[in-house]
Amino acid sequence: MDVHQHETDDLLAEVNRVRKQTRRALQVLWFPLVLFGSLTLISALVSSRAGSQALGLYWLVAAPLSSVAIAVFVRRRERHVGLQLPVAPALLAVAVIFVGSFASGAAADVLDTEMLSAIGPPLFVSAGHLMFARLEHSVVVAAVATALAVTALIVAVAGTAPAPAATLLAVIYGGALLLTGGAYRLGGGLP
Amino acid sequence: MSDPLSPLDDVVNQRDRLSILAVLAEARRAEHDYLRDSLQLSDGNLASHLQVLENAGFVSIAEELQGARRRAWVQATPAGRQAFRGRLASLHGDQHGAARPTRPQ
Repeated sequence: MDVHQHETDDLLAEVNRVRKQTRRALQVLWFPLVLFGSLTLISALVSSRAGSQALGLYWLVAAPLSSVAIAVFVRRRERHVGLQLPVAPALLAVAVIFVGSFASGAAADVLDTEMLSAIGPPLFVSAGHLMFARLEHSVVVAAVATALAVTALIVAVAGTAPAPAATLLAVIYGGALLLTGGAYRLGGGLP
Repeated sequence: MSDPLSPLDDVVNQRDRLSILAVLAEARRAEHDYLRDSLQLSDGNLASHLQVLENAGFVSIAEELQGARRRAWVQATPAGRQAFRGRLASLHGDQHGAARPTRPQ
């Protein structure tokens, strides 16, 4: 390897390191994970105690409030760290989670397919978290989101009745997201 | 694979200035102190690099008062982003060019 080649490799490695460090500098990924994990666990409780109508109302209130909470949290971190990242990708991920979930619930009602309302929202939650993972280039969060999506599909294919399937998935998703977010927060980031 | 460098290429050719543009390629904008700390530059060094980049039209700097503190936010201009992408492409080209085995004549 000649000197020029060595310098080129070195410069590219440095640029990649700086870009990666910038993407992760805000350390905000744990917040939506913990927030969505907690909300999803609570939703399992709401669903089992008060039924699906109450669950719809719960998410109607929780969705905008949690979006505002994420926006406020990210804004505060940006000011603290001194770095502002593009907002569009994060907003898109939140929109995929909530709009996708509400749309799949509505589609399930129209098509009269209860299983769609059980696995649709979890699949959109996975899709949104895959987008979050991409923002900070977190392989662990991407793996968790994918594993959860596979779990949702397995539950659907296994022929579990829709109501218990929805509760089961809410507990699995909520627990996994909460644990991942907690590990991310305590560990100061995940690979 | 070394094309003659134009004066603007020369601006982004410097390692620290390329790193500053690398940060700004990922961010909407970055504060002066963040750039200084994350790139481990002195205030003077960073100021002179930012001056060069600003003169070339690659970054814009806006001072804002937040609370009692004045903060300088740095943002890459479209020309700065383009220059960064161009330099990166040229580095990748150099890397692949050198990695390609030479065909025997």
